Amino acid sequence: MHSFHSTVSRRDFMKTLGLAGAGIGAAAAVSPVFHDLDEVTASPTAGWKRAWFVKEVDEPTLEIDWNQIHRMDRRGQPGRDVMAGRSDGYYSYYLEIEEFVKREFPDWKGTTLRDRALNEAWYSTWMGTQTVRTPAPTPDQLSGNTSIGPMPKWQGTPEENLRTIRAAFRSFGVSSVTVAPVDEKTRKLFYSYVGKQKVTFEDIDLFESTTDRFAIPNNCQWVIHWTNLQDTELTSRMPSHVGRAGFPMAYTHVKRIDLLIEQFLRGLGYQSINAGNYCPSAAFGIMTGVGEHTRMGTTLNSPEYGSHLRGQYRVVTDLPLAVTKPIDAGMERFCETCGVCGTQCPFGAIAMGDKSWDNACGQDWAADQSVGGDTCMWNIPGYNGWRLDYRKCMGNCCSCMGACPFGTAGASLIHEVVKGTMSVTPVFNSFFRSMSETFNYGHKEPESWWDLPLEQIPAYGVNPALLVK
Amino acid sequence: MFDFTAVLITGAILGAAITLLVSWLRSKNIGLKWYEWLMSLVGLALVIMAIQHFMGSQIEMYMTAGWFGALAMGIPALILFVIVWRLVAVRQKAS
Repeated sequence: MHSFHSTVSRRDFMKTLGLAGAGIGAAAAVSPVFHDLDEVTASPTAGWKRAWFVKEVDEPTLEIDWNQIHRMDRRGQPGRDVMAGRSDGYYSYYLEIEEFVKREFPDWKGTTLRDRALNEAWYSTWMGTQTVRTPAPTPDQLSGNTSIGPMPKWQGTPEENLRTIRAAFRSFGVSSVTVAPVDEKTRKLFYSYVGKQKVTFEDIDLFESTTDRFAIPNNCQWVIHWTNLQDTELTSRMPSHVGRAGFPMAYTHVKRIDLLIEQFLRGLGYQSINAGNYCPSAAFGIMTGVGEHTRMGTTLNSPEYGSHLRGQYRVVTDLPLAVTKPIDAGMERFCETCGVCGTQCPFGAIAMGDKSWDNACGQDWAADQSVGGDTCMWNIPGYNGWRLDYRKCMGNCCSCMGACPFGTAGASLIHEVVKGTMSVTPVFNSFFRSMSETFNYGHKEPESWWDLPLEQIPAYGVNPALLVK
Repeated sequence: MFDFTAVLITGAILGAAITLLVSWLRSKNIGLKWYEWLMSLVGLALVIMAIQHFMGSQIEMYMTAGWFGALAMGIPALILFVIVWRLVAVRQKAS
């Protein structure tokens, strides 16, 4: 008989057991405790379980001085091409982008007809008019011939309602659903004017929209922030022409989802006010905890979806909802060290310096048209962050999103280790940034998209690893 | 995200390999010191991480990152296994 001697003594073994027990006990102590299934359903976190390093906080990691935040008056705001002095618009910077891509991929032969055709196909439906064939019946309009006849509007606790819309929206193609209250702070984020429409909050029962007025009823007290994922493989091939097809593709999906959300809330018996063009996306994404402020300025970084969120939309509703909190996952802090997006911006539109309270465009509220001045603010002061220079950014180049180290689908567990570490300490951020470059994350050679095995071009373009987060 | 089949196959191979190794150690009447067990476990963890990273990178479609990561974690694992092997071999020789 063979004899096998363990060199671990009984005493050491018991000590190890004790340590393990203490660890499990500590984990149990900080974990949420549910007493029954109703509590699980009622918990907002039951709808979206996030990693341990995504910590909910009362105030966003982005420092905001709410006294300096005023509602933006967007009457007559020029388009980006005009601001950049490119009156010939979209294609005037196209050759510059090609040269930029060739610097990174010298063997790339340039744009082909199929690249252009893919891009143009998606642009043909970009934010195009999509219609509702038959509006969803409101609860009181339901036919009496079915088991569900006319009835009062849906009733649930705010937590249950959040769980409900999260489930429904996911089926529409939405990735995340978070909620902000319409309160003293968030009202400041709504623009005061959009085009000729004055945006108001009024004591009316139903939402009203006319050529000169966008009136949000005061009984609509919740802003739903929902996001859509951009095509993963095309994003990593931005800013090439083929890669940029992911941009209009995302907005084509967004427009369809918009309608589905509107009809679902209508079916529950509640109002759905599409406020996507009436308030900024990243600001609400930060306030509701989808992600954190980034060096890219107008783009969020989410712990789950990285830089792949396009678009982010807002719906104002009277459906009572549980409010979600801002988060701290160390992502904004990582941007302080990183700056890859800035070095990969073909037009130098991304700030490479430190965060600032200044809006970095030479404008101030005193000269704004909202107080009788003659300028239209396009970047505002009042927060200590980075601002995109719209005079340089071409909008749909999206090189920054493709270059961001958080742009992977996160299937390798090493990303979770990195995110967990950077949420606790910024000491290794510089190392992680270097490793991202060494490991060759970021942009991919554009032409290679056409050679991908078909199973690596998922339907709707989003890497399956991201779809289940 | 895990590919269940890949995890199952990896687990089966690693399980069989560890079982065979332990059986062989017992048959040769070779005992390991606590630090040799520790180094072996760290090495094993690194091997598992290297495999997971490589497979995860395939899903992410960043193959260069997959190879770099597998090497970055696999080589230290290999070094640890060699150290343990040499420690055991020297001790066996001395006895």
